[in-house]
Amino acid sequence: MGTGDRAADEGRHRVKARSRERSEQIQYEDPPTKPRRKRVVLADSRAPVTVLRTVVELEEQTSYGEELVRQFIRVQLRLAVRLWGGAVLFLACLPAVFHFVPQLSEVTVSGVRLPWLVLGILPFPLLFGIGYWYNLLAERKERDFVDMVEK
Amino acid sequence: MSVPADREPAVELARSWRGPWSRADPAAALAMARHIAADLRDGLAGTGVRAAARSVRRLLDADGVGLADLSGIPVWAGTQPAGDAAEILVRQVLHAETRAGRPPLMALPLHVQDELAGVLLVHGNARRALVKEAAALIVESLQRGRLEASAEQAAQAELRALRAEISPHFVYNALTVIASLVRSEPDRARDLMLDFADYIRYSLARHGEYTTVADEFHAIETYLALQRAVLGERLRVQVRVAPEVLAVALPYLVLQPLVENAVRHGIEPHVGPGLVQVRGEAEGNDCVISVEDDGVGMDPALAEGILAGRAASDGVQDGPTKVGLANVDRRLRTVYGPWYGLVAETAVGAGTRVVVRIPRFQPGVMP
Amino acid sequence: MELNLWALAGLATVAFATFYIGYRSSRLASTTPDFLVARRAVRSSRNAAAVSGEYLSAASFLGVAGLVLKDGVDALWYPIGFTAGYLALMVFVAAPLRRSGAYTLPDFCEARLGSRGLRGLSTVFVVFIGMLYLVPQLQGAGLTVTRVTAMPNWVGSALVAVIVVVNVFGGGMRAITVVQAFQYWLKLFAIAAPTFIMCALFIKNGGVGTSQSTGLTEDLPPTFTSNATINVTTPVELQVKEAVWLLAEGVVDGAPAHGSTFWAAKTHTVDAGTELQFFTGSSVPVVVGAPADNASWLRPVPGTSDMFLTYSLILATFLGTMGLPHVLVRFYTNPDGRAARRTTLHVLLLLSLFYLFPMLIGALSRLYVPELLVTGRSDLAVLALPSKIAPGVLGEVLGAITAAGAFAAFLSTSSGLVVSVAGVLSTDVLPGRVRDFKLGTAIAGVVPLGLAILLRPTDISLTVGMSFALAASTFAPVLLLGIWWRNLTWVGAAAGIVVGGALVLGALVVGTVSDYTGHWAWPLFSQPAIVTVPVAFLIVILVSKATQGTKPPDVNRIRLRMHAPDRLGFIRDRDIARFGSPEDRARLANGRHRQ
Repeated sequence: MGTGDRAADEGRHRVKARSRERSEQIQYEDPPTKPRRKRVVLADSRAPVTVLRTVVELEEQTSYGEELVRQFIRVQLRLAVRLWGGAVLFLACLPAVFHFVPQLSEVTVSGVRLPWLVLGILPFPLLFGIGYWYNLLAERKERDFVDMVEK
Repeated sequence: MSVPADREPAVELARSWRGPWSRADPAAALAMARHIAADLRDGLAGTGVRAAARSVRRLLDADGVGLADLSGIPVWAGTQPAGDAAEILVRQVLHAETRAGRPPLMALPLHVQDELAGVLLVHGNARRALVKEAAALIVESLQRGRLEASAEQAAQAELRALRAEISPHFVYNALTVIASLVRSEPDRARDLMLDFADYIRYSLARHGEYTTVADEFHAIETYLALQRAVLGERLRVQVRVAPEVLAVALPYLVLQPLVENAVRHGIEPHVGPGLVQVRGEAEGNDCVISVEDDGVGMDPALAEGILAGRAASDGVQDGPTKVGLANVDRRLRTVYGPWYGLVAETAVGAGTRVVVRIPRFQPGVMP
Repeated sequence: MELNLWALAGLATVAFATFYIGYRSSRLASTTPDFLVARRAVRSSRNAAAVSGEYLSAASFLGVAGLVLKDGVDALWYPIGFTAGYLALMVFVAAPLRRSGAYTLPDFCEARLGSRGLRGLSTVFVVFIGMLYLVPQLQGAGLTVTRVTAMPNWVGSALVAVIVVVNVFGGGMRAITVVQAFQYWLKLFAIAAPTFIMCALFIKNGGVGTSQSTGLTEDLPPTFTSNATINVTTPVELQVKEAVWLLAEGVVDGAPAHGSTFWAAKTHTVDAGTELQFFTGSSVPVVVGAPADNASWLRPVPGTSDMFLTYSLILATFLGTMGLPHVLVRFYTNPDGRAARRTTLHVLLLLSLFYLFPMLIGALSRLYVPELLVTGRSDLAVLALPSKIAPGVLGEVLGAITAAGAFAAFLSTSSGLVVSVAGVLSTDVLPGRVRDFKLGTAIAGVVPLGLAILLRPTDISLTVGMSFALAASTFAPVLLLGIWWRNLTWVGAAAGIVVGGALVLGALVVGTVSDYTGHWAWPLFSQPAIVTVPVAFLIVILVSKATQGTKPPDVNRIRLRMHAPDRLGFIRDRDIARFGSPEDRARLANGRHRQ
């Protein structure tokens, strides 16, 4: 079913045909890698054809398509780690800060102790805000990728 | 993959320990043969080749066993012969298509359906008869893999055939109704025309193998909208699907033949109005879709015959749909296993209900 | 506690409303006289309400308030963690998981790593986690029903188990999105309305300025606001910070006690069946392990070991949410990856809104129902507070509302869990693939019920914290690395699940045994995530690196499918290029009779 398998299959057929012809020059020097397909482009390349071609390239896992996807995943991962890591780093500092600077716990803001405000109220808008921001950026990155692919 | 010389005694020790066990125990030998067959399902370029070579080596009790496809690069299990002796032998065999070399290094051609498919390399003092049998076993396994692949191709061809089966009588009726509406209700005629285009697109388009329940339901809707235009007040329709199952993947054109069947064999022959209900709901990890009509129904024995594909030959009238039903049943079983065939509940005069059950997730089934 | 008719009526209303909405939502659709547009995807806001409805369990509804009452500001990490778990889920998992097409966790393991063996292993842990999470739900139900009807504990547990199992049998509590979304709004109302009224009453009574609440900042234990009679049903150890006179009837400190007793400032043990009577204004003894005086209750992180426990909890909850079986299943309802991400964003909002209220209730309880600290049943705070703060009919009505909300929490979470566990059981475990969903349901209901009755009920959130730790140490590494790291192998994943799972289960067993034999275990055993999660991640990575040969051959294709934006159409409509863009089709479809 997979197109990758199909690519390998065709590679195999090609080699097989050669050996059946009993050609004297058998290609043992071939590196043992999976044969790559060649890109064949028609003379008239209007927009819709381009769309199809790049998407097909992604799907058929040509080295170009593979590299595109790998870069895209890396970009998304970096974004995710940055935002999530920032939020977690901030939250994870709190217990240590309160432990090593106990004076902070005595501060009172409008009748309520600071730790209660910082732990009871602050994290929730923070988490939602980070989530909202990530959603925005991730969707933008996806749009950029689609635009690049569809050009 | 070469093994340093100082490890040789260990290999010897392992052999002497393994030797009596591998020969005396037929169960182990049979199991290994079975494993070889399974590992070689994808052919000599597949992922299981190394495992297969390992099993063959145990079976032969040889020092090393190599399997090469037509690229001539062997995959080894055990100790590889030193130097480029193996490479030369493989080249010879690929060239001459006959066996080459003699113990301790032999190379045998593997012919699958009279075509050279690869080379078996045996390093060590294995008995010749045994090596020959092993080569035969490998050939059988490869052959089996090819047969399975061609069976899959046949199933896909059947699916393509099913797609081409749009009933001419339905196309004619639909176009006639649309034509009659063009003057009186141009807007409605336009909508129906678009439905018709959708229907044709979905039925004829060369998609991948699978789609989603949402798309399949959309195809049903367009079909039923057209049929309602043709049959008018006689056809009432209820389509209901839980949002939980909309994203489930399923093979193309599984539901549409069932709905066509309900309309054509349930409602059309029936005198007076009829109701077709299509439901999709979640049940545990499964998605259950039922198509029910309150039409004429049929003899349960006949229904069984249709599902078994027997009625196809004598059913001159409306043959395609009946073939379609059997085809749906078979495709479901091929994709999901024998537990997932169609279930039909019917009796003469009591209407028909056909139930499709598919798991929400099946590896390899993706829209 | 005598029979509370208001509360009974509340429970009945919840059960009835749940049935009715499920019934009505299916009736409505099928009696629509004509054509119903069937393919109507669920909006992400409603889907989010359904996710939250299923997620807000007894731990959230009762447990958070109880822990705040007992442990003070440190307990706020529970609601933070329960919410932050969704941030990790959203950022790392939601969209790729949805695009992978997997319905359950074992499905994901099989789709990504292509191994039946790993599927079996993950099935075992899904069942484990599901049951571990079910036990506190059922125990909480027992607690609530006992509070409302004075029946023994097991009656309530059995009641919820039976209702859930029967519902799932009959298809009534099927995974209907509408019902679960309704449950969220019901729970939010049931906790928000009473909280508003109680806060208003509190401020009317003098608010923060009264002597009572300034007492919260002093180095003194909380004090009784009225004469209190307490029946001790399970043996407890109490720490007394200020010497106190009381009336005791039963066994105290190993000796029989009758009438007036003096407790010096040290630790006292009280046996089951003892009745204690305290007087207004005397200081409240607190169960061992909780902060004894108000000042340390107010202040975060008193000791270094507490700090490690807090970090352990943070790790477990931040990463554990993604491994809970009933959470992931809900994401399948989203039409695509983008919708899954948006749904999670909504969930963040809904959860943040909800958790404000249990925190407030917990803080108020410290003032009004400190006697719960004596029995260690601080989980009852949400139920007990209304009648204390507003005696009379108003209090009873408010109590009924909170009881009804708690009941909704047990019902929705338990049914979600039972359905997921039963689904996994029937698909993967029951012999010969009989696919007997009903048998699976019965098992998923009965086994946790047995455990709930046998085991001693501890704080709900603590037990729930354990299932989070288990999920974070088994499935979190597999999900995160499976989605973002191409070199994951099934051997590595299996090794991580086994090691992480075994460590957590070992800690659970040691902790439970120590609970029964005198609390000798290190506190880390009750929340081991800080050790087990890094170990599990490390094992997965190392073993995967050592077994690169078993990497699935189609890893690139799977990664493409998981990460490619939905618009490229690797999971949906493939033929945009051939049949025009979606905009074109939408334009063509405009003005149609069915839209």
